[in-house]
Amino acid sequence: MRAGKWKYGDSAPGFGLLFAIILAWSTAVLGERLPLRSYTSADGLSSSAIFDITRDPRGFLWISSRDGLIRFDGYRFVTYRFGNGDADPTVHSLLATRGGVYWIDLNRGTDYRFVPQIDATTVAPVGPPTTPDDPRLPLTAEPIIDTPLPLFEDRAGNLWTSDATGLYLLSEVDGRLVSHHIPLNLPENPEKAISFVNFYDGEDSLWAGTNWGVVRRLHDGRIVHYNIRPAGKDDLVISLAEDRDGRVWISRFDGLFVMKPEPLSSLGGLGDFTTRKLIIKAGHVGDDGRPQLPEKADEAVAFTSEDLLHIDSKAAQEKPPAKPMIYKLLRASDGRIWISTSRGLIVFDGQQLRRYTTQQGLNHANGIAEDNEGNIWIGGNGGLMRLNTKGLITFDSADGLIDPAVRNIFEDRNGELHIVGNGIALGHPIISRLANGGFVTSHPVLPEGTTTTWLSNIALLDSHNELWMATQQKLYRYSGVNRIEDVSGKRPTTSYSRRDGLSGDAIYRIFEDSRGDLWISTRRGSETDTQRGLTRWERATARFHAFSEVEGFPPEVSPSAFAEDRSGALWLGLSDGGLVRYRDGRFTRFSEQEGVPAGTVTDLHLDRSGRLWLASSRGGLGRLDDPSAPLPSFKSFTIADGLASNNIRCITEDLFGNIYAGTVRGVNRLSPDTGRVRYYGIADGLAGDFVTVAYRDRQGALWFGTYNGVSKLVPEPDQPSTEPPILIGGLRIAGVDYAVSPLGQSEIVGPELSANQNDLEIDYSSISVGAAAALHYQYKLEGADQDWSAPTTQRSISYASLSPGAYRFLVRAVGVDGTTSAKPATISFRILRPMWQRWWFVTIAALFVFGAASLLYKYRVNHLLEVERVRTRIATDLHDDIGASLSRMAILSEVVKLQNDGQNERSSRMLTDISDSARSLVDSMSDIVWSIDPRRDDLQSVVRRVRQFAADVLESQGIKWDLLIAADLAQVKLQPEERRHLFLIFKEALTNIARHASCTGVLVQLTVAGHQLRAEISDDGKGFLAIPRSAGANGRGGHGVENMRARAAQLGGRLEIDSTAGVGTRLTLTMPLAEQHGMNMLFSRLRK
Amino acid sequence: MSETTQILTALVEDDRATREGLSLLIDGTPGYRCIGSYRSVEEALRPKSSEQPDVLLLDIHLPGMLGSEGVRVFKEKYPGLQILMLTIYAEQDLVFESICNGACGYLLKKTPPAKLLEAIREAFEGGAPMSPEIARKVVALFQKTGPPPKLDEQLTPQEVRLLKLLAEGYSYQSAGDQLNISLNTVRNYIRSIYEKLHVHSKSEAVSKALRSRLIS
Repeated sequence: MRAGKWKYGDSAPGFGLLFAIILAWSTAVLGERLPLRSYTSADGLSSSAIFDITRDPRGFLWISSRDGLIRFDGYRFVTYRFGNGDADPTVHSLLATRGGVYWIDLNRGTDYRFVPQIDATTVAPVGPPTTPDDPRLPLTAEPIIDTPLPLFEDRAGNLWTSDATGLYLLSEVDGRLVSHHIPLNLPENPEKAISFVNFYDGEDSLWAGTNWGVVRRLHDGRIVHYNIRPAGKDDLVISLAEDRDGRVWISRFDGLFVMKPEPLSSLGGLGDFTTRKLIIKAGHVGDDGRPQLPEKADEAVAFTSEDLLHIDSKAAQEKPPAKPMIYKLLRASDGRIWISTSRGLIVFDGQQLRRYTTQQGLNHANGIAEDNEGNIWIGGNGGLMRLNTKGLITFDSADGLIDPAVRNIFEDRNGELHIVGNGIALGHPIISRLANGGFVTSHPVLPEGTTTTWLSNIALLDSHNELWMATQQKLYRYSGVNRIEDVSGKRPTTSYSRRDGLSGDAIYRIFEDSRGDLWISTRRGSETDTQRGLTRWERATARFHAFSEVEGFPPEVSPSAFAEDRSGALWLGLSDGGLVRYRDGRFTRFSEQEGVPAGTVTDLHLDRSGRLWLASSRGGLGRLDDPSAPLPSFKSFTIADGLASNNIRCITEDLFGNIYAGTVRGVNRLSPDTGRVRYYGIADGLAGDFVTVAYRDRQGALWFGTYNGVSKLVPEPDQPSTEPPILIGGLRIAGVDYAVSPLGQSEIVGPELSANQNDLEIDYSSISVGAAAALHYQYKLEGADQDWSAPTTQRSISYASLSPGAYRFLVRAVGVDGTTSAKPATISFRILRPMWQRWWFVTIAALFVFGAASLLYKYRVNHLLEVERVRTRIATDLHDDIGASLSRMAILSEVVKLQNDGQNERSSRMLTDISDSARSLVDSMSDIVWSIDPRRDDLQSVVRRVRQFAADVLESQGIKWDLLIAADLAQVKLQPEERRHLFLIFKEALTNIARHASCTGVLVQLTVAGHQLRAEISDDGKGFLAIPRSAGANGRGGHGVENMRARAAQLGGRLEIDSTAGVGTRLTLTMPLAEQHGMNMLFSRLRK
Repeated sequence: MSETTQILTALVEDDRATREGLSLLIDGTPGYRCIGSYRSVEEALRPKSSEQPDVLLLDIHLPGMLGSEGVRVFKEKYPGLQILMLTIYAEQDLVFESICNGACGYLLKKTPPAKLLEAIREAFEGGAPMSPEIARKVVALFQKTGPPPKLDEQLTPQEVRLLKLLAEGYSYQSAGDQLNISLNTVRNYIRSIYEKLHVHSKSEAVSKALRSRLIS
């Protein structure tokens, strides 16, 4: 086992004690409440025993813990497992190189190297978990068996490691690490307890801590050995860091060394190995937190942990010996040195040490890291904590603030900060002075029953050291107040009331203008006769002047806020809403109608550009860009602009020009240039939600008074915002996890998915470990969406039932100021059509269906044909039988008539009727057989038959006739019924003509236009009306026309008869033709 | 048309009443004499009379040998015999087969006596009735079986034109008008067509076509 690292379970002194015991703390320890956030198992943190925290170049935090390696991206803790599940999960530390390789130092067993496939694009499904109950994710890392584990990466990217024999420089040859021994020429170590900790200083020297002392390897390879060494075999050098003044800090369990190394220029004459004997002084930390520091290169200062933590070592001896431990050093990006200890943090800002201890809520701090926003993360036996170094520090009753409901904040001429409370619990207002992290409270003595009004500022220390106090009964004045303690236990110097010229007795707010005059507003108090109004106390004359409508001051109003603009005009906000300007001795009132934000004006503030800001209780913030303009014009800022509330209580401004609005829901910082709004709430260290008063002290720190205490914010200029990274962290397709790189991937080319794998769940996130506000995300699915989605804080999206097609999922992070990720993370995937939608399947299925359909169709057609054949056969058989009999009847009646030989005329006529009827019936039978004959399904066969019939009946009468056709007859298909009706109409008409028209010519015209058939039969006979009604066709007496009309109706058509006596008759038939369906065509083709 | 010559007619019809009726009608008409009436082709081939008929009325549907087949037998035995087929309706396939086999026409049984006798006379005088159906089938037959090898057995273009008109239902008269030929010429054409048909019908191609119902 390598020496040089301190591992869990090693016999490190005192480590087994998990919880430090709270000891007596010096009064010098500040009692501030820190902007801390603690992470526990409730947040998903799987371990509360943390050894180390590392921030990798990507921005992830890696936590080495007793329970495994844990990664944190700002949202989610992911615990990884190495090897099989039974191995000791403890991870001692992790080295993340700039090249993106992670070297993982396991406490026992094999170490691992992990090269994340962050740039890989393909993913595969994850197999079933080997240990289903293990919530840890397996990390596909490469065991390190033959090569040493790198422990340190220098500025040039070289990897270093060390063991009992010295330092090793590692270089990669053919993918394997090869170590190169750097001899340090150290004396043999009899105790075999060795530690090496490496770091690079500002002069390009590599420093290593060993049990023989600190070694410095100059860039030319020469070695300088300093006699700074741990106290004994139970002590180790743990960590080294260089502060911004070039001092080297060396931590060990029991304390700390600080040395000031010689510059390289003075090391010119040294040989390859040099030993420097430093004078080591015992260090001391002053009450003001200033540590004793080395002044010369040949000296070092040693601090014990008790010194550093201000622990009374005697008291510690009496209590159970829980010796405070010093662990690691961290040089933060701002140059401050942070020291993790078993009792919290110590920070050295270059001048002073400050302690953030368990009393302020900190835990045992072992590992320490800084994130991209400058937050300090600590991990130890109590879990993980974040200290927001840019957050607010709060003082409340625990710090001696007797009344945490802050009503006013002011500084005296020495810059000491005072907090005013109304002291309801005490029965009188109090003033607390902040002193050394605690408060000294003064109690002015006012008459019994003195009360103050809500929203009153109560106490004001003016520019002439006079303290004014506003009560509901009187205005009080203390003169000559050099320290606030001067008023404690004292009665006021003077008191004033209406009798002295005030507008009323119930004093509301007091304001001192630039001339030193006081403006005092009064309101209706508990006494009915007290008046609202405004009074000015002129310092020069010490006289009060109550304003009235004479000067234009509105009646019945109480100013609740004051500000003086650059022109010297005074602005007064009113408790009932609206604004009054006092200029050149006149008051002008502006109301909500003139654009003043609605509600009580709670505060007015003139910013460094001369703009007037107005806080209102209902209308948010208002900004008046030109107070000198005759008519004020306000631009308002509300919830719609990102404010937390429209109920603004107070306004202040930092030295960078940002406006801070104290609201009933925390503080909003508005950057007027960008419009960007930043929020500070309780999570950022603010004492309470309801911010009553805001104040900037002369150092530029901002103070916010709440009902729960007062909070201090030290504003810093905004860092230019960086483009937030974005990574795909998880992909589940149809419920199956896909192996996305453990660190996320920026581009994934998804697999081809089958149609039933059409639901996807995608996890994505930015790395926002230190982000002050939650990032938003926008996504879109190319192939389904046109535009980016609305920004959301969701870090997962599900798509269900996607239709087949090609898709590309894009997601990007949106920072608080709208900066988006440089390049969106993407997943491309394709959902295949289901098998039954793919072309080959479709083809086969279509062929199959077509085949089946044609078989079915053929069957059906055959069936129909069969039916038709049967029908035809029946008709033919009937015709044959009946026709034969009828023919016989006709013949026999003729024979009888012949034999009768004209003897009985009546009988002959009757016999003629019999034979005619028989023949007519044969014809009818013949017509039926003809019409149902499937071979005669077109108009052509009708025309043929008509022609034949016309020739028969007309030519025998000597009538000329013609048949004109304007149609492709074979194309017009007719149903058997249609054929029959159509033919019979012609037959009837031609028969009528032949029998009755006495004409010489007949013209039959047939036209087909569209789906309309038109037949016209005209003759030049005597006219239709001349035909006796009784003389119809076939002896049916007058029914011939009705017959034809009925047939025409059957055909869905119409029959018109146009007849002029002596000129002729024209009979017109129009009938629709059915559309020629493919089925019909096929049908008619098949039966041929 | 001269009525001085008596037309000797024979009759093959299986229906007794019709046979006797027709026989009476023919006999009762001056210029016509029915010299034999038979129930079947087989019976007719053993004639009761030694006289040879000029015209034979032959029913198509007969027990035993069909009339359509009997035509061929009669024509072989009595080449000068004019055979008119008797049928109930004209559209029967067997009518055309009969004509191919040598019949000179057909008569519908319902035909009134006057027309019936006129048809017998016409047949006797060498005329040949051709219905649209027959005309269509003739055209089809010559198309399907290809032109006969000998030029004089082929239909002339004018004959084909006439057949096509007749097939469209034109009467002899109107068809003649269309072709600018006289009714007599139409008749001559028809006769010529029949002869060519009869010659052609003896060819294997036509028998095959008829057997396989290619022409319908």
